[in-house]
Amino acid sequence: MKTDEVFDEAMDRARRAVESVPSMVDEVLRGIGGAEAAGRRVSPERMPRTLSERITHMHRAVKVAAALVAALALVATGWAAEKVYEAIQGRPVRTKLEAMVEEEPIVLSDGRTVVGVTTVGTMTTADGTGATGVEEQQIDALIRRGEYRLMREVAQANGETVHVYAFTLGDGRVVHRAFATRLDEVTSMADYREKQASRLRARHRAIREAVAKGDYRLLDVEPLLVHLCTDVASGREIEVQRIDLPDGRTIALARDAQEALRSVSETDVSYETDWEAHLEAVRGGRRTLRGARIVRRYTYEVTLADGTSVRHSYGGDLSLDEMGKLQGR
Amino acid sequence: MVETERHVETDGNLVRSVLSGRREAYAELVRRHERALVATAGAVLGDLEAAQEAAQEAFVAAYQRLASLRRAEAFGAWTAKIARRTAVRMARERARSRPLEGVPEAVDRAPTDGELDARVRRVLRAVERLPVRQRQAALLRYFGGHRVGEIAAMTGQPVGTVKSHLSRATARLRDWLAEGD
Repeated sequence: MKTDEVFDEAMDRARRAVESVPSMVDEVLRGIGGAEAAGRRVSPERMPRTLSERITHMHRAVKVAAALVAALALVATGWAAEKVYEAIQGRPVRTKLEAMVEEEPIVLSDGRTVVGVTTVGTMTTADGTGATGVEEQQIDALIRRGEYRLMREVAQANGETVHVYAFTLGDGRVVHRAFATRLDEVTSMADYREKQASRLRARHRAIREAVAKGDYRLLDVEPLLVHLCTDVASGREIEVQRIDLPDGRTIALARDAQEALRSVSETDVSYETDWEAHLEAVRGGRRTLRGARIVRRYTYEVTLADGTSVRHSYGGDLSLDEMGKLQGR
Repeated sequence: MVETERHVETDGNLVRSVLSGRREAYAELVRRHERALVATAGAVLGDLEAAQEAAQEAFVAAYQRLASLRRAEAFGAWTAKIARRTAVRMARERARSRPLEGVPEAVDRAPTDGELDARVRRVLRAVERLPVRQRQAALLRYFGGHRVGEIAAMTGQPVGTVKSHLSRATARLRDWLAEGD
């Protein structure tokens, strides 16, 4: 018998033998369920609770991906809040994070994976009342009827524009909200969220593809200071980010430390107006300062496939080049 | 013949999905690698039923330790390693619990129950001798029935690299299997 025939015959026989074993998918899933029922801890439950803990436990390549997700989350809320704060001229801002969706990773031809996250949120002035369900419904109704006033349009460094609208509620209060698109392009809040999510996904994908191809250049690196705190009254762990505004004021941005872990969230994220007020809360014992971390904010100019350039910012430990090296680029 | 393209999620992405709470993604990982694990365990145990048991146990153990997997794309090789260890442990336990049957490997006799044909076991053992990347490619191609492009997508390697591993694996297996003939 020729070598090839011996090989083919042997491999075919072995393949048929292995194929004769029925699929064990159901059995394995039952085994997993049984282990869970018996109290044996399994990986998803064993995962560290905070994003930073998760990142610490990950392998470097995965860590890069996770860091990018975390970074984008930080920037998507923090940086935008900073701009909206300016947009509504110093009034306290309250943000409602509508959704945070981890995108399907893009798998490149060389096997590397690029990941990202899209956050969709709305921001409003927090006149001591915050956004309520009733308020939400009223604003939705006002959008449907086209009853709103465009107050201001603010260009952001990333090339996007924030549109600030005023709404007069049933009790006569006027609230401001910032939107990423003009409201005359949408029919309702749900329509806005859907279109915004779709638009952001497309934008992030275009950026990630350009980054993967190396079509970017670094424009700026800034340090971001984040205080790790516990709110004494609620026991909630919060992260407070210090933001220096161009006009010289310093504000504090507080958010739930667990926020970044939620895939879809209806979390209210409140922003304080004054860094000194945060420090006063620490001094007065209302907030416990557990530590701090410095996150670098990188700003890049990214050239997209269609030739246009956009600004891309994220907070994290690594530059895009350093991430590329870790991923073997 | 025209091959249609289909989207294949990487093992790494499926692992990450499982870790984010989507248990159903684990079913796909099991589906992809179950035959490779049976082949791996079969090489050690020489028995398909025992090999299936070992593979099943390995998948459950892997699920429980999934968060500790350092490189998510290496899920296949990692679970194969767990299956091999599981099979070795099972083989030791079996050896302790019953007298050795003393059946020479070279004897070509009809297999009974799940016991593997000596020729099949020889193939599986030859695959086990391959370097890890070649072995993984061979397991997925010859026993998992996956195409080269699918293996590349699953393992996060370039198609050319997978082809190279597979080509070397095939050449070695061909030589080894011809040697004893």
